[in-house]
Amino acid sequence: MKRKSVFSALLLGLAVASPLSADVVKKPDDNTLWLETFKTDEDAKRWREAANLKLSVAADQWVVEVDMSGPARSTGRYVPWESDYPYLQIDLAEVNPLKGYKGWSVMSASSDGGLITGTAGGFAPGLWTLNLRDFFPKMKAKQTFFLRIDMHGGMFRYNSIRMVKRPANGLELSFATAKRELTAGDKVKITAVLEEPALDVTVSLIHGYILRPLKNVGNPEGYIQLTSEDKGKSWTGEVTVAANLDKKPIKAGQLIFCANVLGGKLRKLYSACPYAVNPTGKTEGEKK
Amino acid sequence: MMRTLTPTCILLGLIALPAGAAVNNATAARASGAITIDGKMTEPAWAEAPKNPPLVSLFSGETPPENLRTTFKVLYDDQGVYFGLRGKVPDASKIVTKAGNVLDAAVWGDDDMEVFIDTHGDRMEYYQFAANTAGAQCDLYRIEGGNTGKSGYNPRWNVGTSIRDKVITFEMFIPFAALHFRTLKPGKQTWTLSVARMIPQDKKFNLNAFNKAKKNRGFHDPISWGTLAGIEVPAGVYTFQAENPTYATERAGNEYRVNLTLPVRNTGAKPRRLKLRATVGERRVEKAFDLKPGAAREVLLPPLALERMGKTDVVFSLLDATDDRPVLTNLSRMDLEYNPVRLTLLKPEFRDTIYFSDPVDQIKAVVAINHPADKLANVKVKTTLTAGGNTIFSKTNAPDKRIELAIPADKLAEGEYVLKTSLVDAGGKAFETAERRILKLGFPPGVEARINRKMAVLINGTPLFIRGWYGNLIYMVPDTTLPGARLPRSVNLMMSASDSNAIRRGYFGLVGLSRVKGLEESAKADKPLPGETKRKVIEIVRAQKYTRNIIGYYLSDEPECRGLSAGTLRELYELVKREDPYRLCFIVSRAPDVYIESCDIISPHPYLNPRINENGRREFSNLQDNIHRKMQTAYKAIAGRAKALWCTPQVFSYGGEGGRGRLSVFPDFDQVRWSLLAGVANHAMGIVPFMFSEYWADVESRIGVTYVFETLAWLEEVLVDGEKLVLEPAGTGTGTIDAVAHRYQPRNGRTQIYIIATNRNGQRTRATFKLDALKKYDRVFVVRENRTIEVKDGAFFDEFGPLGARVYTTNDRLPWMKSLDAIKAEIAAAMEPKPGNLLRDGKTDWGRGVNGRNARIYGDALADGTTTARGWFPWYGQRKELLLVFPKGVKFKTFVFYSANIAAMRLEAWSFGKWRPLVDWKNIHQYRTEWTGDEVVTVKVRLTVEKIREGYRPYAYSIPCITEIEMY
Repeated sequence: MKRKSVFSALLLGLAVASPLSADVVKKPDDNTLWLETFKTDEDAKRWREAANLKLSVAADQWVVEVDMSGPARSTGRYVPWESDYPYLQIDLAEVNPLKGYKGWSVMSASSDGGLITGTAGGFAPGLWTLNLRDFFPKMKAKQTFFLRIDMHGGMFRYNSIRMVKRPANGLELSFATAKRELTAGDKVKITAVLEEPALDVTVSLIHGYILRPLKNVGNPEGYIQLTSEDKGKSWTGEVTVAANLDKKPIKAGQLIFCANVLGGKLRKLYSACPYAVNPTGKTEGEKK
Repeated sequence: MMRTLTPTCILLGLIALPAGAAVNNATAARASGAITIDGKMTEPAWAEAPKNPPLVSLFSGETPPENLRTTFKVLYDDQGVYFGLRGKVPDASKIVTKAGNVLDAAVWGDDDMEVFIDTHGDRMEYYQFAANTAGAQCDLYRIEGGNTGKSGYNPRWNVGTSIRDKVITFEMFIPFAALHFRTLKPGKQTWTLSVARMIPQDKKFNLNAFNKAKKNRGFHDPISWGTLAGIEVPAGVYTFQAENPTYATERAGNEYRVNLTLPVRNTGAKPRRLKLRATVGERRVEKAFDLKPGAAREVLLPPLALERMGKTDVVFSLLDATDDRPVLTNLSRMDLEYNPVRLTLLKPEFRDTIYFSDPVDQIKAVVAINHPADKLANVKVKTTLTAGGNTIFSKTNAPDKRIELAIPADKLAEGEYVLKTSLVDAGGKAFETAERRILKLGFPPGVEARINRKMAVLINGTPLFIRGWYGNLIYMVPDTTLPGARLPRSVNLMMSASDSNAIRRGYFGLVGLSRVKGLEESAKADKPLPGETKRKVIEIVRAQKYTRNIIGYYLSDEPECRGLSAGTLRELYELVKREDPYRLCFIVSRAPDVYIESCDIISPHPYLNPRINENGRREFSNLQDNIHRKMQTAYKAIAGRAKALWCTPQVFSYGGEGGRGRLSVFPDFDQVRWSLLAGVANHAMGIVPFMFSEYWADVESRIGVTYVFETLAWLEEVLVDGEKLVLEPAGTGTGTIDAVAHRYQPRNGRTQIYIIATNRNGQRTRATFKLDALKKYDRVFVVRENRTIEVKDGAFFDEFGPLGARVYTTNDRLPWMKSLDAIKAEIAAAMEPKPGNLLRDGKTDWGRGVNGRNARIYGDALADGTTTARGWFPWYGQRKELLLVFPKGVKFKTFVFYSANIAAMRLEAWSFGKWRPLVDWKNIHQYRTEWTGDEVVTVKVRLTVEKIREGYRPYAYSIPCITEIEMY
């Protein structure tokens, strides 16, 4: 029954695509394709399931209250896509957990879309930066896509959602490999960019399923120390996928990079690996 | 293909997350024909039954491989529910069947199948039926969302099993009459259901269940269970509940006549004509009676003739008298006794032993004759006290229902005596006898611990109200806090303070026996202790002979959770007390009535798990009357004998985010005070809170426990020497109050009344206290509240909030004790930011580790102002480095740390991408170590332990401990 209702709601979303894609702030500056800042209740109501989800705006934050017994636990809308603006940025300011399941995920209904990222066993408020070009390479140069956010067991406060060419603040991941699966030995370059300088940035790897820290990152501290060459505005580091990173393969979007920023304005930056990670290089079921 | 299925992919993505995790649900169908419970599932009805989803891995939700696949079907008829379960096994020769075929066998360690049914669908209470492949059964009733159980549930249900072609098949029939602990709802029902299977030969899929569960709950996670739809319960049939039976016995020739009584209640809406049947083997008795709706009745059955006494399984069946349909069945394992001559010792009162600290002048005993009166003509009652065949005392009485004896004992030498009472016929021949072995002990080589009828423990003759702590010195207390590791106002009992070093520091402790090899295995199978186990126990016990601070033995911890037999534990108890008559035996259990005969001290440990609920309000996650139920059960089981009742309330919380996070939290002062005093208000004569490191880690818990212990220290004489009065306070509405009252007259002082009362169930109430002993008083004082209440005609009233806990006294000469408001102010002050120390100024954001909690918000024992209590004591995790992070940066000139065991340590601050050494301390010998230098601006500070000083204890010396850090 639950599946059917979500499916129906999704089809309904497709059917009324036009109204839902209206009214985001388009190209407010050269770097931004669109921006949703939720300044008024009307902004909030443009999102699907507005009535069921109790969307509202308070103190310039978009507040989504999810009633776990209610009919809707997700919201979404059609948004523009241009491949030159690949970074989706969601500024999730705060989550107040409720009883029961906890989880948050970002999905896309684009032509080759699906789960982008999510935390299934807890919440991770912070600034999420996700390179959708890496996630969905088959997206056209220009199109719209349905952006869906699933929320379970909490009251969520968002500062903004936007798509940009390059993040002004955020965590970027780049990959030396062309394959869409990382295995042991593959390197991931991590860049944290900050508008306001910070004094220290470290990155922890987390399995998104239950927010389990993955500590085998090549040093005893269990986290990756980033370094800055420009007085704290841009921080870089690298991690090599270790064979013992995790016992099982990790699905695309489920290896989460969490930057802990000290001495700056922002505290937490997140990104997710767009590729599956298979540390052992063996398929499931294969004997080790 | 992928593209056209996009919405489905999204849905699959959603389903992969717990938020959308599909819950398996099952369907039952009415059986189309009769089912034979033979473990074969060959009847056509099984083929027609609806298929249900297969079992999955309990924690991962993964589907097991084909050779471990487990499926089940459910059928029902008007009599009950049939479960047919089939599971594949890779190797049938490796099937495990260790559990003995005993009542409630510990089958969960074997290859077993289990069914969990919550017939009300509220996921709070449920039945568990389990069986192994040998057909051994276990049935339990769980309450409080599975947190704990309710004893005495042994319904009659059937299981048949078979193993063929690497497939094990279980057929279970659970009659509706077996589901009687909670009255069944009639009509079409949707029950909450879980089905589970243990597969010991496969590590990965050992734990299989119908639905994925939370890791910390395991199989007992009804929130995660699915449902069972389709069952229809006949209306107005299964509406009865029963309580535990009682009995009386008399002799009739070579047989015994047992008069059984079963309390029965009709929870239905109709008057019913019923028949109660009791069956023992082939013998049975029954009685017809009427029961009105809502009425309860103690049904006395006609005498049941039995050939022997002892452990007897009595099956009670309540039948509808019109059609003989069973509407309730239960088995009671009764330990039947027939005592034609009952010899009860009044003095000495504990273990029939005359202790050095209580040298009784006279042995006082009561002889009760329960022999048929018509056979007592020309019969005399002869009582003798003998030692080694020599008669020391002899007296003959005429037979009487009750004969009181007083035997001079002041001149008895140390040793063993036999007190024997016999019925002697005209020819001088004894034909019925009762005897007791009496021991007279000399000066104890180590310590003398005993219990009196007031349930007080006496150590070397001094009665104490025990105020101790549950925990183990090893991981609770680092070297650094050891000198201060005493609970203020306690008697300093630490449960596992068996280490000799701890003993030298004045702890009373108990020596654990639960891990002696072979004990648990035997107890699980309800078998006698093996010789090797006995030898090991004796070795441990003898090693304590001269220790002065070991007052007893910790026989078992939560034996009910591991299916340990009370009989085997009783054998252990008898062995230990024979080997060491000077020390006590202790069991912690949430089934106190089951294990009370296997120990001297029983300590129920009611879990309450404080938490913050979804509305941000503080609450207990279990029902608040948990303490009442566990303690009253134990108190009734002790029944005025010289056994001790302690309480182990929980002063911490399991699971969740811990600490002052959003979910589980340390109890606040009101919760601590209520839960400790609730134990006392329910007759506890010892409070041993479940506290581990929390006492040292949480200021509010520590202050709370300390002040409650202060109250109990003040009340100690009253509780151990006073006279207990019968007091049953009444509450208005749904509120209920627990209370104990004592009358106490100190030497050369006036008699005063003391009442300890707590709210039982969290409902606000106006309580009435009425006591004849209060009639001569016109007011009572409320301790710590600066309040008096008028007493009229021996009665007074008071308002109780949900966590209401009060101590009343007529004694107006109260010692100075802080008021509750002042204590709360002390707690608030202790938790107030302290200017100066940056870690406690309430402004500086900081935490431990890069992902650590915000200590400014949640608090941290490293900066709680307590330099004698643990702050950083990394028992778990890495022990080399302590990282403090300051997300918004910090400036400091002085860094101070307190430690008793760190000999060398490096202090560094993060600066421009590198660690900058501030100081490299070598050869630290003082407790307080300070660094002062130029101002440091940083976001991270790292302490690297380079050397630990030699410990004076063998175990914790390798663990660094810092009790406090200050930064200025």
